[in-house]
Amino acid sequence: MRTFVAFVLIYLLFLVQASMTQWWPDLVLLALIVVSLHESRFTSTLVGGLVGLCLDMTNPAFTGTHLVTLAATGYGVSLLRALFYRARWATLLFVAMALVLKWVAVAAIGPGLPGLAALAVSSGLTLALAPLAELALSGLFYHGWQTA
Amino acid sequence: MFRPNLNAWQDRAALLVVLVGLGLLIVPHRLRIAVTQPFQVAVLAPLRLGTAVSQSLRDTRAENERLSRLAAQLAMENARLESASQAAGATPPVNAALIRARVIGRDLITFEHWLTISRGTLNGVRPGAPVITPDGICGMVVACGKHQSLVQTLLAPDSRVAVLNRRSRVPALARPDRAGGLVLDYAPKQSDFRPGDTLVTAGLGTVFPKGLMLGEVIAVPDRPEALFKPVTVRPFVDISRIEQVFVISLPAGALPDTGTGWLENTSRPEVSIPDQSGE
Repeated sequence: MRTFVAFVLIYLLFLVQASMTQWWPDLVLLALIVVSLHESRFTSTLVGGLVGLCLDMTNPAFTGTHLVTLAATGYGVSLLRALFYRARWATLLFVAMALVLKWVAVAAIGPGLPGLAALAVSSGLTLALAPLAELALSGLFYHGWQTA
Repeated sequence: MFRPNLNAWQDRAALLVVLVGLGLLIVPHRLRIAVTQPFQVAVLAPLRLGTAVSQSLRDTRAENERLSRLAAQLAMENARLESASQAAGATPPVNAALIRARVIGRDLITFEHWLTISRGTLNGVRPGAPVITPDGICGMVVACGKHQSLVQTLLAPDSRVAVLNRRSRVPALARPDRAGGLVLDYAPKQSDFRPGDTLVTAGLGTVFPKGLMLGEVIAVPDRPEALFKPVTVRPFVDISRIEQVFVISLPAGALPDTGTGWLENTSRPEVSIPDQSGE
């Protein structure tokens, strides 16, 4: 049930993000990383894949780009979270790594990078919001830090 | 030491998801779009619904603003018409009788200043009665015999008629000019008169009831030195050609004397009409 609610939440964030400009923070990525910090590897990968597929639907010509990226992100975060004791700092690192992975994938196999300014602003905002997202979503769904 | 077990079923399932994504990337473009189209419709349905609702809301708001402006305009128009209706008297003051008469004589100099008509006091005609034709007002009875009456037309030098612009509701006083038409006196310089405006009687002078057609504005020359706006008017009635008129027989007191009788020159000339048989 909790996983379903998490997926619905991420889907709602996807709807919000899809209606915004490229300058907005990547809310879907933030939520996915926080969920992956608490869920199993399969669940994280599945949620990442489904949300990535949803993102791909906004540009069907490159279907698969976000699916692979977010599924890999969910899996990687879920796998590597045991390395960290405090989730808040882990979130920052994971967000930075996921952003790099996402932009590389978008540039290599996706529709291409947005403008440098939009990319910088969006990435900066995403990083800045990472601790807040972890605090809010963990408090809302998971009641504190849980290890794998 | 961090050593995850990558052979668990979760890892294999996760790898499968990633492989599905990679597989989608190598599917041909057309096939990829065809396969994902139903999913795309389902996933983006809330977004499209939101966009449609938002667009509908914007359209409704724009329509609402347009209708509000229209309602305000109609309310103002309604208030203006109600005001005009109240000013005009929503109901006619009397049931005025029309007395048909033939033109049996004209003045011998202009043919347009004075008319003699074939009805007199025996037919109910009284001095001061308005004389009209189907096109508009013609003048007023100034003297009566038993069978004939003398009519002062609009173009007689002493004629004055209180008029009202039917469009802008600006009152003024019409008098004859030297060119055989009419000109307005006392039309304020800032008043709203335009060529093509219709003038009707204002009902201010105790002779003509309100609302009778008088003429059309044909020119509003710009004369900065003039005190009032020199509006030129062409009467609807061609007095030189009329052969038949109607005298409005108003009962005494039908038009209350408001002290503004000077507007329509109600002082009667000293005329006596010999008693002759009419038609």
